[in-house]
Amino acid sequence: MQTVTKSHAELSERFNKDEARVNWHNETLWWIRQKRDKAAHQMPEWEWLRQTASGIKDYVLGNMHDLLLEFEANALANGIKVHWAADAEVHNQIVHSILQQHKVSKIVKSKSMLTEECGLNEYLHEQKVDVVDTDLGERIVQLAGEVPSHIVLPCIHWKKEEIGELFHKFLGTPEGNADPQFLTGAARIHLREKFLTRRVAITGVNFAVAETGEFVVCTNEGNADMGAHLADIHIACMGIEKLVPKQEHLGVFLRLLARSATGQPTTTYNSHFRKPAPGQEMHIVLVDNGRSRQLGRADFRNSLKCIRCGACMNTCPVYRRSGGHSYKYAISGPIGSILAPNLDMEKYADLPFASTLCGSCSNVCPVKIDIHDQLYKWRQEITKNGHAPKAKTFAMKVVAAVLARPALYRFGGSMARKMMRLFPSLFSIKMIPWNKARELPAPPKESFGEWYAKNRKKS
Amino acid sequence: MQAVKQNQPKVDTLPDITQPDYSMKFSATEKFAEVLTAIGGRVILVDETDDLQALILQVFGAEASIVSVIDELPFKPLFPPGTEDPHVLENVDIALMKAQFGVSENGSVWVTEAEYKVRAFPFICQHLAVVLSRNNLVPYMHAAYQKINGQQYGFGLFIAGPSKTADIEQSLVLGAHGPKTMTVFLTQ
Repeated sequence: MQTVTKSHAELSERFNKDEARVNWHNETLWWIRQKRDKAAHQMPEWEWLRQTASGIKDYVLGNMHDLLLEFEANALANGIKVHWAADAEVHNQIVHSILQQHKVSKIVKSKSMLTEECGLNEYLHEQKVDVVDTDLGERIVQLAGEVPSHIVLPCIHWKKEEIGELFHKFLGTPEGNADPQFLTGAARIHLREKFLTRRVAITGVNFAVAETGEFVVCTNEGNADMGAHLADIHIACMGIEKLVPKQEHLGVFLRLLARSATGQPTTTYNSHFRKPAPGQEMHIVLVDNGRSRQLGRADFRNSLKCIRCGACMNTCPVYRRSGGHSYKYAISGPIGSILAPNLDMEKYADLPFASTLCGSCSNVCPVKIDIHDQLYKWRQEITKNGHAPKAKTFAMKVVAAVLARPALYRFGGSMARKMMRLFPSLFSIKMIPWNKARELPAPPKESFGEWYAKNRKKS
Repeated sequence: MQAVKQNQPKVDTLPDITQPDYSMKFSATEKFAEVLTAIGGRVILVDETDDLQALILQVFGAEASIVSVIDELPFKPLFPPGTEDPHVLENVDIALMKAQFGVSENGSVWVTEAEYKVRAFPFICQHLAVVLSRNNLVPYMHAAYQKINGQQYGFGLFIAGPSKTADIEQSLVLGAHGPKTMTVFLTQ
């Protein structure tokens, strides 16, 4: 986790300094959104699938307690060791204690947004454990000392030339080589050595089945499997909301996940882990970290349906132009903006305001989370709790006072129009945030009220 | 857990997941081949009269180093004598295995460790070759799980094409960490 305390707007401003780069970022993500559309539109049953997935997750939210116990009992019967973590700190301690037990200080880890949420890498680093992220995108940002900027495409903000430079520095590739095929090949060799020598592998979990006690991990690269199958100990970390009741429900979610994420018909590997391999140890850490609290917030509990496809980010006009790091949270974009305030309403108070409320996120969400409605509701909740940005609160109070007094409103309006005509430069100065990348239209001579009063008499 | 119990809403019913009649329609074999090819795989249609073993050699070349876990197709054995350590599979060039069934809508095949014995096998090899009967194609994932239901595997998975990544500027590269190619021999 980053310790940045700057606001979303300030961080976006930094991202926006290089206009060509922002345009490139924007267009890349939109291209992925279009691939998602193409995949979805091929299927007449798409909307039915979304509705069904949402309904299954409703059931999961409503029966989470019993489903968790059912999952635990079946996983234990399968020979998996089950751990419970109330929060991020306990989660990190559990993982570390397993490593200590086996005297292991070097591990591989495949993509897990949960471990990002818990700050596991930083925690283990402090405990002198060497963690190698094995997803190519995650490895790139890890080598650069960054965190992922997108949950599916961790280094979507990096250009190939920069990756070439990074690999030259860390992996010894020839200077100036920025060919994706070549760089991926170099990473393959670099990471194979890690897969073959490390005794503990951490993976995330995409779905866990209560009925069978198995869990499913989806990757394109095969890095989760390379790590898990070549290690003596496999630790899988999951948020408690990742459950599905029955195995047959996987069919619904696997049809939606990759199509929503990248437009692929499915991820290359959908691996079903049910029992440890002979001689192997398998652990699963079930993490709450605020999820039970979110479950109690009727307006926001639907956010727990999320299957982490990233479609809401790819479509979001704000995310595409502000970059994932501007959200200061492991899960960025619209979904991150409704998950983060549950963990710390004050720290993430600005995120629900980083949206145009256009609703595109809700329209592409494969489990039909009402994301933009929740963004709107978080704004009210945050303001009620006194965490809204101060300038905004002040401005809102002024506006409320003026709108409540019609005479003052009319006077203010006519004054503003006069002033804008007489001193236009006063209103276009860059000090006013609204003027960033915008130009004021010419002020009208009269208000609609004035025009109406005049013209109504005429007719 | 107490908080979960206290905070969870009341929901009693699970939705019906029966595939609706208006779902996309396609020919099972054609769609499977079309989708798998589109995602970087290769499909070879095998006729009844073909000698599969000879055909495999023809496809990969007579000099190819093939490790087979299919009893009827004896190439090299999984492990050299004296070891069962999966790490030695690092040297496998072509891995040959059987799939239980394939899924047409997404070009994937279902395999479990019962068919191929060592979990790392289809990932650690440089190239993956799979034998699948076209009688064992199901149209959708829903039907796939009807077939999986009740199976007692320790590890099972869907594989759809070669290992791949597009993490560097969205340029698709086949062969991320696992096999660089995937060939499915689709038999009668």
